[in-house]
Amino acid sequence: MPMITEQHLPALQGLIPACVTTCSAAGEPNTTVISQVWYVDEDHVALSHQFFNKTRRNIAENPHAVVMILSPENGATFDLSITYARTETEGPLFDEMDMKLEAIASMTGMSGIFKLLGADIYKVDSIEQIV
Amino acid sequence: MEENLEEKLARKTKELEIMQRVAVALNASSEVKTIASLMLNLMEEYFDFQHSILLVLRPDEEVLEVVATHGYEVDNLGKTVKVGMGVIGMVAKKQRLMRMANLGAQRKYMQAISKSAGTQAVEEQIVGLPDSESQVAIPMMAEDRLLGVLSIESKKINFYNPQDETLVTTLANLGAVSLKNALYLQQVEEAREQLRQVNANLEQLVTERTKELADAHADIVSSISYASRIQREFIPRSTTLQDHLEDFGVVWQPRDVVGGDFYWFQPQENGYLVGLGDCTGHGVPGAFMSLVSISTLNRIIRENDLEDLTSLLKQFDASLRAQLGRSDEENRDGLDFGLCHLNPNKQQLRFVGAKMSLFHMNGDGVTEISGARKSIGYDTARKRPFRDEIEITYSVGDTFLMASDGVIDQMGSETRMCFGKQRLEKFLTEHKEDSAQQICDELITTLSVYRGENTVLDDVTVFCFRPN
Repeated sequence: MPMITEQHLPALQGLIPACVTTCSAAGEPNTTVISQVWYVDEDHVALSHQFFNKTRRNIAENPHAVVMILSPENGATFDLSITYARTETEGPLFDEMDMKLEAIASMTGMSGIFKLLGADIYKVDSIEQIV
Repeated sequence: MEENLEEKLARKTKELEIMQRVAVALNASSEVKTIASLMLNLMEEYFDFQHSILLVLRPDEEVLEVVATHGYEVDNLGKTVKVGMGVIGMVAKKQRLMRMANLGAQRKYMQAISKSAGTQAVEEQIVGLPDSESQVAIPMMAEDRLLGVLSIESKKINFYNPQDETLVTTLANLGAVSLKNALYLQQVEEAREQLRQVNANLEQLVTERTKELADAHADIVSSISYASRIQREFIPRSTTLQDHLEDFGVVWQPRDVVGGDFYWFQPQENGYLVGLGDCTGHGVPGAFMSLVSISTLNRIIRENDLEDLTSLLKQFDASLRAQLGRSDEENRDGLDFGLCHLNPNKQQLRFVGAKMSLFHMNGDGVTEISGARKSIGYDTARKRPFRDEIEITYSVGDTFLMASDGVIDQMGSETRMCFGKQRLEKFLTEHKEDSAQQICDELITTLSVYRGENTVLDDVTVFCFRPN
């Protein structure tokens, strides 16, 4: 049974920012807004790793997270429970994410500064529609 | 479900139609802009892709240039995008398709970060829509080589779907091969045009230069012809010679229009002086030397009352050195010169020569009366002595001849040797009974035959006379 179906895809195009919530080993939660959750396959999504931030630190301590995505077509909102699987620094997915980032960065003088360090792949454990 | 299927079928039909029309058009045209414009027009006609643009990679592979656009208010033709810059530039750099759904938000996001990081936005000319939201850009490839980028864009967010990507990809691939051929043809045509331009410029240049050269040549020929007239004025007139000599012959043939040879005649109270000079070089420099020499000789005769020919020769030498040796460089100018004084009453002839001989023909044969082994002028000959004049008593009917180097130094085409003194003496032996002019004419004919195909090397002057 695939986790991600056609109804979720519009929410995975980066049109409406997503919220990702992580938790440190000490139990301190952190929620942050990210520009896009990338569709990888029916059971996986990816987040871009550009900076070493709180989210990355928490994931290193506790691989479980929840990400909320919104469909721009009908406002449907989903909570995805995800678990960090691996980081890709090459390959088709990394290239596509890197290319889009660089295209925009080059127009704003951010080439080389705003750089993709990796594509963090998460396994989707469950999906719950909340709106 | 049924409706969905019908929609899909309708789209597939439209896609097939557009492919067919593009394919037909591609076969019909080999012009880059025609092919590109047609592709863009058909995309709007069938799928309402209102804004599209086709860019071609320039040969330097650093910049893409817009060759066709569709649906823009501003003229984008000729505008350029750097490889690696923006969506189109990045597609060219990575040679991968890119579909963007919300460019505006991403730009704002990046600008906010850029502002907080303190970086400067890059000032690039805008190609396409300044406020586009959705864009699909695809590299046009032929045999792993990037030719250009095809891009469609819209002001609407998330306007294109994966099916549109497929259509644009197919179109781009279809167009790539034709584009490659068209680009190749265009390059060949441009190269040909450049070549034609270069050729035309070259031809024009050659025509101009040829005319300049022809004009310059005409000027020079005109000047030299005039110079020749002046030089002839310095050579004794036949009428002057006829007053003193019943039988004489002269050849004066400069290799060029003017030359360095001259003969000289000066009446005296008790007879006359006959001279023959062969100056350094030939052509214009030789002519200058000959005029200086004649003027100097005339001045010496006018200002001095010299009976002794050797003294006259020495004065001639000293005077020329004084005139020519003004620079610090060694004087390399001078002349070979023979001078005779004839006293018909005494049947007496006196001769001095500076590297010039006098040939005496009588019943006994031909005798060469040699001059000194020293020319007049040249520094190299300064220390050698002049010989004392030689005096001979001649009989009526004896013939004398002096000739410049042009006679004995002429190379023969068959012998590959100089004409030489032996041949000259043999010739004179055979012709000594002829009139002086006949001897001259025959000598020139003989020399011409001897020369054959060879070029004339030097000026040729002969003075032959039979005293009364």
